[in-house]
Amino acid sequence: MGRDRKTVTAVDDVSLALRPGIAHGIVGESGCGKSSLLDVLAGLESVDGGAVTYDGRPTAEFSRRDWMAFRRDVQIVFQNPFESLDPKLTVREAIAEPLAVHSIDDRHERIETAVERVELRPVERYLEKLPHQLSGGERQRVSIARALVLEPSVLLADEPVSMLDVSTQANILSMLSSLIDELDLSVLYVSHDISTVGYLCDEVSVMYLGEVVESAPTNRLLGEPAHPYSRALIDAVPIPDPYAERERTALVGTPDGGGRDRTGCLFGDRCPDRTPACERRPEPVALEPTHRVSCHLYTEEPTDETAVRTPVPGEHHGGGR
Amino acid sequence: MVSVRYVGSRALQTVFLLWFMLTFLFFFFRLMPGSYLDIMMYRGADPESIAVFKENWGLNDPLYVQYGRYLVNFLGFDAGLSVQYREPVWDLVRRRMFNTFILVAPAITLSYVVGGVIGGLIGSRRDSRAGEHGLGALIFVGSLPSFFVGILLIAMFSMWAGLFPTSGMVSPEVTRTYRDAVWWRPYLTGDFAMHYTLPFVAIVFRYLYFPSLIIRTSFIDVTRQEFNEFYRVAGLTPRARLRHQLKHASLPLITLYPLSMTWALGGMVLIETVFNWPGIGQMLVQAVLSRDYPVIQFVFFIIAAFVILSNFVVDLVYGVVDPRISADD
Amino acid sequence: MTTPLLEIDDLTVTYRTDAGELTAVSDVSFCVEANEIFGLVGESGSGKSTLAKAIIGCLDRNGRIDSGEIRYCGTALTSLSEERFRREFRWNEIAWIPQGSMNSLDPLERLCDQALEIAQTHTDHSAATVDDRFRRAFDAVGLQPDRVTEYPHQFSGGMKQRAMIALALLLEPSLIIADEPTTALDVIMQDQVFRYLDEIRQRTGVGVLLITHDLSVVMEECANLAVLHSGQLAEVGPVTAIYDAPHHPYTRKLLGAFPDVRDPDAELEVLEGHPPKITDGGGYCTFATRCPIATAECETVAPTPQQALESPSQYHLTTCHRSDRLFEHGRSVRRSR
Ligand SMILES: Nc1ncnc2c1ncn2[C@@H]1O[C@H](COP(=O)(O)OP(=O)(O)O)[C@@H](O)[C@H]1O
Ligand SMILES: [Mg+2]
Repeated sequence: MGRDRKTVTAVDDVSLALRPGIAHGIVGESGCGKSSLLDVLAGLESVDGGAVTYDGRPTAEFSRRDWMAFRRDVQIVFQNPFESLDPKLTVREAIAEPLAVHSIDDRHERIETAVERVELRPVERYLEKLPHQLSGGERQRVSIARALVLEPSVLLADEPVSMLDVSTQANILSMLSSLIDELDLSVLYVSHDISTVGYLCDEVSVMYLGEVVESAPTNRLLGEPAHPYSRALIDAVPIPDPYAERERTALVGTPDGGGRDRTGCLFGDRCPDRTPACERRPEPVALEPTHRVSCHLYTEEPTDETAVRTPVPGEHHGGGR
Repeated sequence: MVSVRYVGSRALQTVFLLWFMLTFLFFFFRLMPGSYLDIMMYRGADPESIAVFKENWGLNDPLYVQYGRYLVNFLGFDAGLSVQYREPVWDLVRRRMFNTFILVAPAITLSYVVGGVIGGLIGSRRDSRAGEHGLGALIFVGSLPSFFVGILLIAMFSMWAGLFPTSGMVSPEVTRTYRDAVWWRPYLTGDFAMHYTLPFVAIVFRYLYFPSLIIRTSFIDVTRQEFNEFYRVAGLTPRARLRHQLKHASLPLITLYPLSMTWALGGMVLIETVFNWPGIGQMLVQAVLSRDYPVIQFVFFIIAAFVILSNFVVDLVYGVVDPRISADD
Repeated sequence: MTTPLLEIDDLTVTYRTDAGELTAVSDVSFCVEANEIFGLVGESGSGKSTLAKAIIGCLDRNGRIDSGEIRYCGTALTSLSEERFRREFRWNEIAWIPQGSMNSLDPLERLCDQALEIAQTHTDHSAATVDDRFRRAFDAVGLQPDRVTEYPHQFSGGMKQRAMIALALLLEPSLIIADEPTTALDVIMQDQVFRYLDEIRQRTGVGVLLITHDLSVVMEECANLAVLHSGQLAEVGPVTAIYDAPHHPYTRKLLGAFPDVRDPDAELEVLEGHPPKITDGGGYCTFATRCPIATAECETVAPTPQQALESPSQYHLTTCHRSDRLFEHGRSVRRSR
């Protein structure tokens, strides 16, 4: 199958580009608009403003044929494996469904390959099982197999491991990680847990109330987070080390808590580094070509020609990270 | 909590539905073939008397004028004259309605109370023998047609045991005695109570299975909800826990109670015929046979209005009991 | 030595199931002291919730305590009458934040009414006192005190969780059992919840039994922990000792299964399979089928808890036939950094 390299972009308020063959993470608390973003990208919801371009073409101009092709090429894995599978369909039937929708033949082989890929072995033992006979991790594998059976080039994953046990989570994460390499998938991975994002993704965008506030390569973002919100998200992750002295997150409340005055910085009401400048909406600046952040901490010298300032690295904890 | 907006919007909806029903029935019966006029002609009435009839009844006016007149009159409790008896429909129907309601409302209420208890018992002993057998018995009772239940009761308690009268609402002597008293005086006699018992029992018996099964299912559902475990761990007494469970389990009954009531009203045609009870069901049968459209139309409207209004009340009650409902609005 | 707050002594719990007698907890012993957060860790199906419910005497109908004793401040809860247990201990002494407490609150009652009913079951506080206390508890978990009059559905998931903690604090218990209190929450909310729990512990000296599958949470929040696998205690001891010198292969696997923000590229330990259900009475190491170093002995003889060799702590027990062997492989169990 001719595997074209495709790019999904959602522009305007959320500006991010998923480049081919890249795993891109989106982090933020619950209620930050991560899932709505995925719905928009998947074409399940319409766009209010701005545009989603796929492979260079805005989806708004898509014909029905284009949508069919798009739906085949872009697959979603949902958060809750207990709800996303039809309880009455066997594993084989569940995976066969998308094949039927796209009228694809030689289903047998494709289904078996897909099940094999998600490491449900021996394959024959799983094919005739019903969801209630499977554990949460196995169900999530079936969901992933269902997404992979169409050989998509883009996978959208909405917190696929957040409902699972930690050890199961590790299994699924490492499996996803090798699948991404093996199949050369582009992945958009959404989660509230920046540690799983860090493990899986090459690039990360931090999202707050529907806006990307910072994006950078994973190591850069985890090592030198620029936006106070990114720092808070990193700070909140427990470290599996009793000696690590982690500050607790300073954030209080929830994203929808303080009224979102749309004129100022959206994070302004919860930000520990708030300044008067935050009454205005910050513009994104590039700290490095690949590291963009929207925060007045980095835009506050308008007279200076070199408006791009390097961030103060690692001041938030004992340099351990 | 129930917000004013919620009540307001539901009230508006209810009024609209009532108006719609009234209008629909009006036009429906105007457009139906086979009117009272046809029956008159069939019986050989001459064209002149038909013309007089039409004139008297305002049938020569355009339909919208008739409709307007009907609406205005209706708001003043005037639903026209019965063509059969030449009496105001309202006067005819009023007493009949009363007779039906005093039978149906207490009977259905009792069936809900008794059914609730039975359902709760079966539900809380669902793994036991008693639970299984109780369920079987209930389903058997629910499958019996109402006239069969009625005839069975009459056969057993009036004919063989001779305990109760076979039919009617009050004996002729009683009617005669109280001819000059207020209209409700006969209802306070022992004679009325004797006549009342069998049809009452028949209805309770007939409709018992429904609330029982509902409560049973909902009770089982409720005991699986997580708040039970919370209350248990919080050390609430078994009685207090049962109280909460019953509150949850009875939520569906609030919706179903008026439904059963309407359903029983429909079924009253049979029960009233078997027991010769002078209710609205009986009257409907007579009215249909003689194409007495004003009466049929009004009775239909009353039943529809009952459904519509009780739904409105249910929504309000539900909003008070279950805080989640009006919040979704 | 003073009596510990909670002592679990050789506890075995079984469930009657269609597949036979399921041993959900077998011969488990550990202690929780006052003013400490004690971690109980294991994958789902390890028997953590069963243990919690056994402590509070609220096992499911088909479950029962087969043997062993549970003592609370020296009182054997296991031989108490149900009525006395209910009235004097539940919520009054031992409060419980249930697994998935978002759905545990009664949706039909205002929070303050639920609080009042619970309080009046155990105490003779006046309604005003209860209301006042509940408002203060709300405040302590970062909720607006005015919102006590609301219904559960008016709160977000994280807020319901905190409301549950507020309810748990209401009667000032000495022990709080928190069963996966943050599993359904995002990391920020999780961190806030633990901040409140820890503040409360410092202020009131309450002991907390924290049940979770997330070992990193335990590493941060707890002083001691117990690792459970299919009802058997794999390892118990201070978190630092277990972190430095894990003496059970299961603990080692678990320790490596977490992505660490400090080292995003490290490979994760992968633990295949699930904790098996023990329906044959046990009598062997329940981890044997998943263990990389199991021998025939592991499959036929149940290991007994032993002091961990070369551990920095004297109170560090491991239940593994091969722990000495395991330790020869060297101390660098975690990724070196
Ligand atoms: N009511 C019950 N009846 C039968 N088996 C049960 C019951 N509750 C739990 N179990 C079984 O007991 C074992 C331990 O369960 P649980 O205590 O819930 O573990 P955890 O809380 O660690 O996930 C599991 O195998 C589970 O299937
Ligand atoms: Mg559990």
